[in-house]
Amino acid sequence: MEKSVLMGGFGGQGVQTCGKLLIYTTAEQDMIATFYSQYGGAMRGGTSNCTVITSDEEIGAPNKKNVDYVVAFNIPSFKKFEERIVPGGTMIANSTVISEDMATRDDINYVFFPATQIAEDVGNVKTLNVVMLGFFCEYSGMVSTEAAKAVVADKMGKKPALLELNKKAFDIGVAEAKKAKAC
Amino acid sequence: MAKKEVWQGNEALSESALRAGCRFFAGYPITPQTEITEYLAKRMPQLEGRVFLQGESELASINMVYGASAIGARAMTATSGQGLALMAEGLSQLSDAGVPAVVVDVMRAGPGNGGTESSQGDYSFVSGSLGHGGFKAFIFGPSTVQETADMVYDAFDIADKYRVVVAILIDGMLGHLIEAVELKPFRDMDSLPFRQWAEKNDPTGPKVHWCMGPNWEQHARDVAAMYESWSELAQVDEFMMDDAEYVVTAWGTCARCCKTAIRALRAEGYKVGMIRPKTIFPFPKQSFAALDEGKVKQIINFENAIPEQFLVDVKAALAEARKDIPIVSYTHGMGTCFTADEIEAKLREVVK
Repeated sequence: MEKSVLMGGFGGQGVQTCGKLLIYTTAEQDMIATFYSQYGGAMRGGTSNCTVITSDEEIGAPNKKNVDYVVAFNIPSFKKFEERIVPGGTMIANSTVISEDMATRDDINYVFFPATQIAEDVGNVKTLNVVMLGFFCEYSGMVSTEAAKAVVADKMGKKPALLELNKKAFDIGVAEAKKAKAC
Repeated sequence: MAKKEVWQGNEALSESALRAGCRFFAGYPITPQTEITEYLAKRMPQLEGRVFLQGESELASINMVYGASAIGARAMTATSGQGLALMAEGLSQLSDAGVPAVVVDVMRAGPGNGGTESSQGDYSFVSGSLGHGGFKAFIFGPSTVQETADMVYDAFDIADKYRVVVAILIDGMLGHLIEAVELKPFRDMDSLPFRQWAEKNDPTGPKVHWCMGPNWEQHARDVAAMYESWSELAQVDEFMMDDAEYVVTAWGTCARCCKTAIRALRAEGYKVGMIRPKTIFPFPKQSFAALDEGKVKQIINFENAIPEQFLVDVKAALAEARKDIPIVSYTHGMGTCFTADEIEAKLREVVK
């Protein structure tokens, strides 16, 4: 059984890192997974997206067109990838920049939460991708939230000050997902 | 089994090459190959006795590889499309002199400057003739990160044994793909095959330059016979072929996308399988010769190259085995690649 997520945003928002942290987590759990990315020539401000797939058997296509989840960091990703969610799938959107009335489909779920605002409140907007990661892991159950948090601590441990911020950002993302699941 | 680690295709290839005993690398960055150069620039100085050089061009790089290999070092370069075109002369020279090397082409889109997106458009360029003159490379065409790492590991032994260039043909999709892999251990550098012919090793023995003498034509015949002998080294993945009535032919990343589509059709009872060559040269002709014309209704070829290149080898293998099976072919190219959904839709048209 395959599960897939497509994450998209501007270059510089940490989309690639978010997807990489996710696939590092799959390896910790001995899952079969692929990470496929596309990004523009310009690093900052260009478009950036990545697809992570998990499965219990060998994965064929890594460039899956239709996915179970989209995590939209910005408006262009929301607009572009909304149509690529399978019926019954879920759009997780950054409501700091994406308005809820932009939703156009009635056969998928929408979950909005103010990810950029949370990252700013944590103290550094660069933690946006970790907020998103915490939220996604907890909401989707695609990987273990605990394992993902350990990966964040391991991979982002070089700068202790930022690490504390990232851990806090991850926890708030998880708490937001618990709230979203409850309602 | 050791725990698998998550590696990007380009980086897994680089690390695996070092573990196989690659002592010398010269190259020039080009998307989507750049991570190879970047990784080796950082990694090789950490290891004893390894040399990394960024050449001033691809032309310089391949000639540095020639020199390093000629004095006995396992040597590699990596590039993409245009870079390989610049290396053509050097590659031809290497194969004429019988100097082994491993050459990686991470294919990008289109002829000319093209685009940095993925494609399979260098297939004919690499498999036809290695530069001018008609000599060939042994060519691997992996489709997963694990295969990429394993094949480059084996490539150095094959290059040494036959004194040829071994090419690893991947594309931007595979170069940038991240998967969990198990890398093989470091080779003991002192136990690598002795290159008796290398300039440094035995001054009285045969030298790198085999040819251009009165026996040049005979030399070419010997090389041709060596290519023939490789047929038993051909590697192939026959996927769900046991009872297949519809046979997909594809290679590399395109083939792995086909697998997803084939599984979807199999789940509905359609008898679809696939022949996926893992070596491009030698080409696994035996898989085509084994096809039962009474059972196989249709061959469906998919590749990310316009016009088709891989299809030429498929048709040649079928013709050689005198198999008369209808073929239909679908292509993408210039940076657009097949998705599993598109392949599934095309297959549905065929099997309905």
